[in-house]
Amino acid sequence: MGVQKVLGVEIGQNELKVALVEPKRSKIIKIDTIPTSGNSMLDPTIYASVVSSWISSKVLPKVELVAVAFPANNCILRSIVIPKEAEDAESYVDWEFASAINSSLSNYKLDTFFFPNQKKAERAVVSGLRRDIVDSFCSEELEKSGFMPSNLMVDTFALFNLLECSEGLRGMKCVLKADEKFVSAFWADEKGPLALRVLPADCISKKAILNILESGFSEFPKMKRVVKLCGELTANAEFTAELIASAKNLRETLEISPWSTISKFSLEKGEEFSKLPQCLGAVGVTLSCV
Amino acid sequence: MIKSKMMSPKSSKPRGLDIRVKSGSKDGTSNKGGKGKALNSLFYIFVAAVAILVCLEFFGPPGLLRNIVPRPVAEMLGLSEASSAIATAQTSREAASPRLTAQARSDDPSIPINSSVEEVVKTVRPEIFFRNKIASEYNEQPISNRTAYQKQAFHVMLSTFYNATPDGIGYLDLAYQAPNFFFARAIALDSRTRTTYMDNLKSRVVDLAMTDSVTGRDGNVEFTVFGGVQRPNFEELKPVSLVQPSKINSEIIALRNLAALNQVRLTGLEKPVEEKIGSYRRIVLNTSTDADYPALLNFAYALQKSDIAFGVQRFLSRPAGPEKMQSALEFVLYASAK
Repeated sequence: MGVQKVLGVEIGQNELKVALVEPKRSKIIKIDTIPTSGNSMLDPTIYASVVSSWISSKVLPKVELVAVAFPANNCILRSIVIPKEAEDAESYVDWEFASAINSSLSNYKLDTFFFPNQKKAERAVVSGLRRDIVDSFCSEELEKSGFMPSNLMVDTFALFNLLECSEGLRGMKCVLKADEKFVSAFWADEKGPLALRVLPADCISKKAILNILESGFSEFPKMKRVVKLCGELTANAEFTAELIASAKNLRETLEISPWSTISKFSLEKGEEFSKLPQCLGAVGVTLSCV
Repeated sequence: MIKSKMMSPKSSKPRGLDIRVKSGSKDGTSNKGGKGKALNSLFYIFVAAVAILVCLEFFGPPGLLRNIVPRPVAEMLGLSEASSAIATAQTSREAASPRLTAQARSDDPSIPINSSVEEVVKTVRPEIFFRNKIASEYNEQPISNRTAYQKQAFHVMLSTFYNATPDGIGYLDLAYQAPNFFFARAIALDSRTRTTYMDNLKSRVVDLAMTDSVTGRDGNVEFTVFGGVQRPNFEELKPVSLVQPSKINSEIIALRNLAALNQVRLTGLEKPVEEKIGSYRRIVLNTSTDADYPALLNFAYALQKSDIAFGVQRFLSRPAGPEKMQSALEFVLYASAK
């Protein structure tokens, strides 16, 4: 019996980022970006048909599991401090999340993670995705096609997992994910994600990105000002170079570098991995299947 | 490692929004719920039994049961026909008593007895109670207006004590209660400091009294002051309307954010106590904080300037170790019933 192969799919606005990974052996077999004509979050059958034809065109081995990472702008992502008096941290998170949305909590499906643990939770990060979207990923049609995801996770959490499995979280780390339609940055250490900043599509500019990074780093003045850059915009060499240069010209220099190598992971020989910084979410989401 | 539960069937059922807060009890027995249920059942059975007995006492056994209930049992319960007849006679005597009262009131010529409705209505003159009356007192105001008053009065109280307290005065208790009452148990280095303090306070408050002054061996003077701070003017306050029930949580979040902005970390916000009173609801938040006095003062200032519908009903501050204080704040909000 071979080692379990997991297909990680990261859904983008008009493309899919895919990664075929053997998570137990920390081996990346193949990565790719596939343009789509439509948003797979609104219609998961798009994702299923595109991935299916990609697998057959590349003559890939059978995939045992599929894990999907969805973009953070499709969900509500919150970092919540849990008061000491709250007896049931989960109920507290539900209550706070319900207070922050303008519809019923039952319309959302929540993914909540407590730090340091659920029993003595001090903080929680929660992603809430609309229930109808989650249900559309559990449809019979998708199940028959064999692409019903065994795991569905927001890309930020997938990147957090990847960071933990590759470099570890000793010392504080900052990851900036810059996509065409959304930018997010998170700061994490062994205690979990510590801060989160997001930038919607209309506000994406080099200045705005540097502003959110500055705002995050101001919370951790002792932290080394190093940022790992990934996401769709890393394909835009001009943008990346200008962003890196602008960060260096700040009053307090920020060192931004593309996240192009993943330590502890081996890459399949003879394959093309230049798009790795764009596909890290797809790699990260496969780790949740281990 | 973050493991997603998004696709797990277990999490498909939406959870309820009950916020449970640590009660402080050390008893961790697991069969608490079972015991509670049993006690509840017993209580309901008891209430049902009492209700049945009371019904039988008043109306007697129903015709169907009259020949079924054994006579000794009926007599023991006081359900025999003789006893029910006595009860009926007593009830009819009691029913007649209001007529006697009406007769007595007929001595007052301003209240027409046995007159037409028009005549009775003519005697009702509400204007004698409200003529030229301007609602300037706290208790005369609609309840929703009171929260704006409380917010301002709370800030007035904190700033009064901030400005009136000279060096050499410390507080054991400092309390505020809406509308404008204050109470303080203070320690002065010496009687001269106390006099300066009292002079400062006198010029800033509308009522002031001092009691229980005790001088210690080291010359320190412990004393109590209480009274009322300057009253805010209702005409200058922005009227507040009842909050929509759907907005209550937003108000709580806004209050928390405002407090956090001013370095005041409030705990207890997730446990609002809701009370339905007639056509409105009263939501009370019992919170506590270890923020220092300047932070609280800034918060009180920001709160009175904000549109947040919560008022401060009570405030109590006590020292909690060197250079530290612990304060309890009771916030109140009035919301419409529907």
